[in-house]
Amino acid sequence: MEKENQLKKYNQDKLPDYFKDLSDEQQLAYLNKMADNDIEIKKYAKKKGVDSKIAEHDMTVDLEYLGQLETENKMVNIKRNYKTGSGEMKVDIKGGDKNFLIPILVVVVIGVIGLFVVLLWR
Amino acid sequence: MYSFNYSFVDTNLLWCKMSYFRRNTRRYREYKYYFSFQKIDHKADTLDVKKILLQEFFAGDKTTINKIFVKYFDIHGRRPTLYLKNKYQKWKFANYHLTDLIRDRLLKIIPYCLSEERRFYLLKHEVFSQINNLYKERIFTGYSNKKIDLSEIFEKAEEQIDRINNFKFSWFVNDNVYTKNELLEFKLLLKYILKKKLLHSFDATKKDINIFKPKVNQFKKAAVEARYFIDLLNIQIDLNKINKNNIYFHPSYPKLNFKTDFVDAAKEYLLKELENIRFNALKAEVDGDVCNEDLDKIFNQYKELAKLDNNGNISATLKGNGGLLKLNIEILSFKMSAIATLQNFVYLLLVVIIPLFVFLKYPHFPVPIQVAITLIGLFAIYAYPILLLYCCKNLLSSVSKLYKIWKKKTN
Repeated sequence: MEKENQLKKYNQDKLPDYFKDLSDEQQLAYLNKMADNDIEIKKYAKKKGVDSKIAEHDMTVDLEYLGQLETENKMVNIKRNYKTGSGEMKVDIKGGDKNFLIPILVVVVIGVIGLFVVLLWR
Repeated sequence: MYSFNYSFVDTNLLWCKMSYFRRNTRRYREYKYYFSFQKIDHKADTLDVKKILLQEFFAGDKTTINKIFVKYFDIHGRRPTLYLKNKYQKWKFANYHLTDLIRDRLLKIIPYCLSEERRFYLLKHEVFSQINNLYKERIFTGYSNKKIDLSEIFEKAEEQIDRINNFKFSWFVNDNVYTKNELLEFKLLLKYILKKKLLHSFDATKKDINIFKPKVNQFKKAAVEARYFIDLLNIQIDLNKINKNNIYFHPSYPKLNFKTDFVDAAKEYLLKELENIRFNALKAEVDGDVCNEDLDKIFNQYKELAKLDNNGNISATLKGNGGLLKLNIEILSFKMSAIATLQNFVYLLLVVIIPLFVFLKYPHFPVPIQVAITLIGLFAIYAYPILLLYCCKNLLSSVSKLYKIWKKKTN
């Protein structure tokens, strides 16, 4: 009875050829193993889905943070690790407010060269 | 009265005796492992068959143990068997040393006294320890520079499986413990299972490549490096070099015809392996789906980061259907690269200018400052070239990034 119930769950074509040659006890054990594995797969898929969702949320938060930096006169180097459902991802970003830094750097370069030339000229 | 003269004691002999004692104590302790099932990892690829055989004598079922005693009596006679029976409990609980002579005698007898199931189990492990390096040999070399044909890789792997016929098995296999038919049947069964696994790996890899290749092409070509690692074959390939057309693989399966005493054990093993393959296929399907979604997320992240005009790097290792995808995406921004170039230029200028300025402008310092400069100079002799090289390297890398961006724009 238990075996018949288990058999209903599976398509007969999907069972291996040698299944028929097994004893009733072995067949039942095999079907139970299949059922256990199916449950495990569902759990596995669920866990992976949750990990992916968490990683996606973290990515969005970090993107918003980087967006904010664009207007805050700051330069940052951000390193993040995300554990996604299928593996892991590392992001390394150098960014921030470019409009703030470029003029400063240009002035510094000109200043340093100018100072050097003036001092040596004397 | 007799007195011992210590000056005659040969110290070398004493040392030899002590080292002999220590060596034997260690050996004696090691024997304890034979008698406990927990001490041996039965799933390990490299399994010590001799240890399992001894376990069969000390921890096996009653029928096997009785068979061993009968066989021992037939070969070695009454007195050695009595000795074996007397010492059995002591050996079992490792209270008495099992000599090499008895051990070798037992090892020669035990394989013939095992049940069919245990014999099959031992053969399986013996063969598995032989084929442990089946795909690890350098059979897949030369795929780094040319266009990669997946079918060719899997056909080479199939050739390796077919080589199982030529494998030589160790002493207890060659010692007529197994008949020729039993060995042949087992080899066919093993080939059948390995080819099923190979086909599953091929299908999974093909599925991955069909999904990954278009997705990876979405990223700007010059900035992406994508490598794919096939789990089963231990081989890493460049995704951009895979020839996507005409991927096919049809392994030729051997016909299974169970006639020997192994029939029950073989069928059970076969079904177990087939169920494992089914389970792994389902798991791989889940991995593939999740990986597909994750790739979309990475692509969105890349697009957003590129919009923000930042320099950066995204590296990801994702598990697909049949292997690992290793992605390395470089995000290049003209503004950020220009800033980095300017920054590095300033650093280099400072590193070059300050010492030059000091030596040109102030050649004659007061004595205390000269001493201080000498001390700092000793450190600077080693540190300065490194600092200079570091600044040059940074400047060059930022300039190369600018060049990449310029090249991409002109393309």
